[in-house]
Amino acid sequence: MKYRFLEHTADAMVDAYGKTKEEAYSNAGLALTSIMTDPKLVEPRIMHKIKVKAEDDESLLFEFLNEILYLFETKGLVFSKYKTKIKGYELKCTASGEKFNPGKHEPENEVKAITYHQMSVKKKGDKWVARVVFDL
Amino acid sequence: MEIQKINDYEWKIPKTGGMNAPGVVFASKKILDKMMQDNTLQQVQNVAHLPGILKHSIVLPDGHWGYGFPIGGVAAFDAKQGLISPGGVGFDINCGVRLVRTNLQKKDVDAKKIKELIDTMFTNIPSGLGSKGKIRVNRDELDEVLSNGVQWAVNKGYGWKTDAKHIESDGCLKNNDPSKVSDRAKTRGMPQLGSLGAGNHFVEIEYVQKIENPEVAEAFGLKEGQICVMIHTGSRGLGHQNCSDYIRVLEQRFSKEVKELPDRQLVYAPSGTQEFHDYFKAMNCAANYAWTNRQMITHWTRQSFQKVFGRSAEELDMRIVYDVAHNIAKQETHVINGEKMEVIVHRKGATRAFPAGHEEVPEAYKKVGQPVLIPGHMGIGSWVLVGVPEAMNKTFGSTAHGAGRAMSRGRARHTYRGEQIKKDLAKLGIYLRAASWKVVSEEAPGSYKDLDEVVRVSHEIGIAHRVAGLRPLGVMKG
Repeated sequence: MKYRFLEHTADAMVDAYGKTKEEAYSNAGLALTSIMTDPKLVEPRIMHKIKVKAEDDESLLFEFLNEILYLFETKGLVFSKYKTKIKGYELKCTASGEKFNPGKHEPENEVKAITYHQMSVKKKGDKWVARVVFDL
Repeated sequence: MEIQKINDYEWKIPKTGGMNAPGVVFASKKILDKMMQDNTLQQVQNVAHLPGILKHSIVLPDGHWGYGFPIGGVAAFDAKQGLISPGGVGFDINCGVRLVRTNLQKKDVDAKKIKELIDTMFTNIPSGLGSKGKIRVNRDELDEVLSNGVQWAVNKGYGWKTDAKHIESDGCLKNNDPSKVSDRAKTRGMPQLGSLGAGNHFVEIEYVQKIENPEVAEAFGLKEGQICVMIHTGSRGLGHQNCSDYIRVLEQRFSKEVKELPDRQLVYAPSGTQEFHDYFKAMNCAANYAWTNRQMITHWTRQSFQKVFGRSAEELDMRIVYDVAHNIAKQETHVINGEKMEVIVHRKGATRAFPAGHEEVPEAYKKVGQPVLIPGHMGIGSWVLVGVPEAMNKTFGSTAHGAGRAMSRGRARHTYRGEQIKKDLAKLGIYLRAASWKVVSEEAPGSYKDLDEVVRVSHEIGIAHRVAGLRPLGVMKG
């Protein structure tokens, strides 16, 4: 399982999983896409490089997801594939997707923002879990 | 968690651990039980950890689990020795509702007319995921929007001269500075001015089903059977990005203070710091954007009515009843322990509810009190209430802002189907047009709390009094 939505009354709380921390971040990106549209409908036709820096695991996740949201709103890009590399608190990601097309991508919900509420990045057993609440 | 009953509608969470004040819950037993099923009360406690919180951390009858503050949360701080918390305002700065009246009666609009109106509005008002406005403003124009709010729109022909007088703060917070809003926030906000968005945002055609307070209803210009339009949206990407930007700035600048908080989302700027003033001015810019956004949507709503009825919006007397911000921090004067004080009141999913005579209530309503607009879900409509003096003592002049969710979006999606909801609403005489069926299923009437109960409790506590109940006839969803 790449990610799982948890019970939250108003917003969208998700656990994203990965064998590595990088994979958990990638899957958090995918979870964000899945709120807006079905990632299966998004063909990986455009590659876009994302680079963000922060001070700790959580702020790095916050910055990364915010950048994905920013690219959607300002460039109309949606992604279905994320390849992430993390060094310290610097993240580089190659995101693949295409221009959002309401006719093709069956628009769903709008994500207003990434929140810090209950955010965590943890290793549980042999798995990494990134938890984030999206404001809808 | 210990909860002490004060009376049937007030419950106290005693000050424990790192709390700087007690919590108070305004709810019936039925609503309280619902709140105890999620993290609402934990969040009331968390807010009470903020330094300098005055009196108590409040949650209103529509309260439910949010991020940082609970939705339906109110907290006030000394303007000079307190703080401001972007998370306590929320990402959607000045998300709010506006009620526009008409001189049409329910009998003037049959099902065919409602469909025609909603379909016309659906074409005229951009909505849904990634929706962009029909007009394009450049950077300089956007800065004018951020400085002047609704007045910018009225000057450009998107409104009437009298509109601003019927909007909270006249549709413009003057303590603003567009240079404090980042380029990224402006880039997000520029193409979205005049768009509805998605989620719980809507435009509804409603009729006044019942009047509970004829004298106040008359002052508000409301009559039984009258057709009105309710608009619910906020500051779009500009506000969302602005909040995110300042959370990042503040957590780096005040990292020591953040570490002492139970939730990082509660990060704040202490009063008197440069960051406090910067955020305050930037937040006010975003609030001005939101009022302008609702103004543009009002304009296109008026145009839609003109087209369908072949009469001008003036002839249809489509005046604004009122417009309230329900995600905002305001500097206001309140009496604390018998002394007048300047405070920063955070309303996170809460509506200002000022009484008759208050200097911030518009002239037209000065004798009766401020209109309070509380929308529910698409199956039930909305309530109009009026601010009363008791709210100043109990809730820093605030009351509920909506029905409040009871069920998660995920569960709603698995429980309801959008197409079926449209059919169910049609049976109730409500026409629905939506940009996304999935959003409709998440917004299912069954996933919300009982609006009438929320309003009843607000009325009983005396933090706002019922004036008129409105029922929907047509709903446009993003």
